[in-house]
Amino acid sequence: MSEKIHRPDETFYVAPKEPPASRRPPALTIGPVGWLRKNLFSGVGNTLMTGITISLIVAFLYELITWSIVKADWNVVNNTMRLMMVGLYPIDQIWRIQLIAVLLVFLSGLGVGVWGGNARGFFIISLIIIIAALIIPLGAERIEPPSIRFIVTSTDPNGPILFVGDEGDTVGLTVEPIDDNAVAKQESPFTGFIENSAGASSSRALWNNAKAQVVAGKLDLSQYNLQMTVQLLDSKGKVLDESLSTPAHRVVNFEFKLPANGWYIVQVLRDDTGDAIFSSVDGLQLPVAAARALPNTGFAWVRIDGVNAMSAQQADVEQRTKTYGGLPTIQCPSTAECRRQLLEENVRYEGSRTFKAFLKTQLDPFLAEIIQALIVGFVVMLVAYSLGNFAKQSRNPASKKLVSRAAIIGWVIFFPLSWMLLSGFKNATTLHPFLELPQVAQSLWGGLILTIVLTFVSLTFAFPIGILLALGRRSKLPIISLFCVLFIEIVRGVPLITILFMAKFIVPYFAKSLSDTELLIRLLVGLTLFTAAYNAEVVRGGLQIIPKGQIEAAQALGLNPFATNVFIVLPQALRAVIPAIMSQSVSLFKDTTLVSIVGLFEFLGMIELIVNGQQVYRPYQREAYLFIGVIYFIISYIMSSLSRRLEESGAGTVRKMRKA
Amino acid sequence: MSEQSNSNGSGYIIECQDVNKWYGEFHVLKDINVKVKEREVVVVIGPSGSGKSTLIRCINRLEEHQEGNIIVDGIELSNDLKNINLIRRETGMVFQSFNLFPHLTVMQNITLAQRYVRRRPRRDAEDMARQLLQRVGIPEQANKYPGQLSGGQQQRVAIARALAMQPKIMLFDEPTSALDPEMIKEVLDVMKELARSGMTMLVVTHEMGFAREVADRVIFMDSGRIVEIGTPEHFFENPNHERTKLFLSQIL
Ligand SMILES: Nc1ncnc2c1ncn2[C@@H]1O[C@H](COP(=O)(O)OP(=O)(O)OP(=O)(O)O)[C@@H](O)[C@H]1O
Ligand SMILES: [Mg+2]
Repeated sequence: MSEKIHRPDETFYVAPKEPPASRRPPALTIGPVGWLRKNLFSGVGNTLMTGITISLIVAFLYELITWSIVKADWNVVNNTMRLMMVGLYPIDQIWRIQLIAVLLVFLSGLGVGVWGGNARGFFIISLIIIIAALIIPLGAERIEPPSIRFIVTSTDPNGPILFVGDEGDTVGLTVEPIDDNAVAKQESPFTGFIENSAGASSSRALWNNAKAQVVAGKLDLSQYNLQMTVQLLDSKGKVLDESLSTPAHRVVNFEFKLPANGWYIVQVLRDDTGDAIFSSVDGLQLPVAAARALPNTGFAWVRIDGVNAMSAQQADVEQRTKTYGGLPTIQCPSTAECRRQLLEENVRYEGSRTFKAFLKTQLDPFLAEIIQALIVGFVVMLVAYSLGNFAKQSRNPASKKLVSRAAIIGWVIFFPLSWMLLSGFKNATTLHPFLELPQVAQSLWGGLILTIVLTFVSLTFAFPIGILLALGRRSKLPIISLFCVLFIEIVRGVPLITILFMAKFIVPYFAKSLSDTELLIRLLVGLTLFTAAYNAEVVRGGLQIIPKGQIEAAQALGLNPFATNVFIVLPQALRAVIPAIMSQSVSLFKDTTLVSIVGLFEFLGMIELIVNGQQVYRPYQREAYLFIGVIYFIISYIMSSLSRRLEESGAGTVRKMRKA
Repeated sequence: MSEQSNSNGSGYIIECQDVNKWYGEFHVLKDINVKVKEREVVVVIGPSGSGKSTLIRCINRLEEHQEGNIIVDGIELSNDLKNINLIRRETGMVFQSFNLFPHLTVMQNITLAQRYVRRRPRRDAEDMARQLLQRVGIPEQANKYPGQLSGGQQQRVAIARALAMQPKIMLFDEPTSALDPEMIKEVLDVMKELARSGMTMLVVTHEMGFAREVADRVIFMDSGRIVEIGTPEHFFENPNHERTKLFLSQIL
């Protein structure tokens, strides 16, 4: 650079011969780092907001996930899957629902194949498959309840405990001494605690009390000095097996194979004396356990494995009495203690578990339940996708057209076909043998499948009705437009629940002939009209954005009003309101929960029935509601993604045109 | 196109007799009397707001007139829907803002009405569309969407769309005013070719060159009434009316 460089502020400036080489922008302003700096940390306030928001999100997610893994018991979801998904739909007819699910997956796969799909398309399809797999209750894997424990204290032997067992079951009994003060600070492992209505004497209450005392320094758990015999008795009171736990030989652990169906009793006998225990063999007294120096102190868990808690419901009790006989009479300190049955309501599952245990006890059964369906679903999807894609890639445009048309026809007949499959025919046997589908009463439908039926049936009908109402509202004939306005405004002015109550109670009162129609149909009509009124307003908004010139051009070509609407106005108007219609649909999907108030048990209603009606699941409302929240979210997400796809697709849309 | 007219023997394909129209209180058309012969090209000019668009929109009933008679191809325009549809089939219209259907391809734009109104089989309709696109000079654009075409191309598609119905009359409402200068020529060329082929045309335009070259007669309108009708020579060289002179002095 031997040339003299002129500075711009001088009165005379000539640029150097060579323009300066292009440099890269400063490293911190480009790429992900640049994005972060620009969008998240661009100022003190912004950085602070980012920090607070991120930490809130992280904290929330951390709590939620650790709770789900460590503490939550998902048996309420797993063990009631079929009820939640299909309600009381007869088990031997469930293949129909499976067929519908397979068709759904097939058509989705075909659609993505022939109309082209991106990564998001596949993601959506996977979600569809998961939902479909959930609806198909192929397996019925139950989450095994964890072992059940009760506490033995220096003063309270806390037994005997009655349960039923089948021949060949293996029952394990284990004494777990609590002789380390550190245990008081740990969380209990995830197990079931035997509770008692007596409250204070319940295992968990006793143990919590002891823990508090240890923490307060009033109790020393290492002063363990319990000596006891754990026994398994049959219903006659005969000892089947027993084992002695002494301060020197604390952990005992034995298993026993039950000889027959019937009642069994676990009982703990305590040796409260300080003496050594002898057992006599051939007249000789041999010491089994040494004499104790300290008084009888300490806590121990007695763990029972391989035994299920029993239902307390009337029908189950009767059934039990029939199979296993009546409650055995046994000798025990007080009658209240004697009647301690291993009922579901007496057991609380609590504590925390490791991730491994979560996988094994919670996730495994869940996966086992849906894995077959998932595999079938993915295979069907892949087959359909390849078929569609093959047609799309093929040189012959006719084959693409054929498959694409087949897919459209498939979707069109899918909905009525599903309805037919679900409900069956009234006089099934008189029809063609191939069509022998016995009717399944609509009152048996329930769970997620009912939610889906409610949503899609009312959407399907509400859409055309909404369009007609919107066109009617703009009609030049005052009577028609008045009728439409009245209908729309009245329906929109009334809460949905009112309409559902009317469908349930008022319609049969005024029109006797309608009282025979199934409740489901009446509610469907209510939902349809409700949605139609809202759709009408949305569609009207779309009609208003169509320029007048479009209609004039159509008229000038001689198209009549019907053709003008069908070919010119509606295609453009509807395309413009897809997002609004779709959000309408998603909100309808969520609003269907209201039908549970008038007596149909759709997804949410079914869950409420389960967690409120069955004692054993009552403590697991959180798990249940979290689960359905996730499912509702997934389906809503699928719906809104589809709408976005619909918006973007379709050549020659108003939108695309603007882009081009 | 046959020489024989099926009109009522008067030889006129459009007749307006004492047509009056109001928008509410506003008197837009005042005692309009016009007769257009078959194969005639009539250009309507006049200042903005004088009622030119309203007049030609009355002829295919996009606007309703309140008094007087309009007879098109022997059919009287009344509230009878059948007559309206008959007349709309015989008249094609080209708008200032093209009004192509944005959601349909060029091909579909041209074939839709043929198939639905004329009930032509798809193949015939498409053949017709291809011929017309050839005629207006854009045969290669058949599968594009209107949004992908230039303004001049769009207007030519619009003309093809109107012609596809094989109308006896073509109405043009300022077909070139929304176009850039270099596109105006391509549209005017198509219109000139159309005029030469013997189409009856009623054209509202500000293109005086076109009027001079193609028009058989020129109508000058002002404030809702017809001020002067004459041949282009008469009209541009020595107009009679003061209003016409003023108008011409402003635009030429
Ligand atoms: N729908 C309507 N309602 C009320 N007045 C109208 C309506 N349409 C047009 N007019 C009025 O009628 C008059 C004639 O309108 P028209 O569109 O026929 O004028 P024009 O001669 O075509 O003008 P331009 O050259 O600007 O297109 C104008 O004053 C206009 O304001
Ligand atoms: Mg005008």
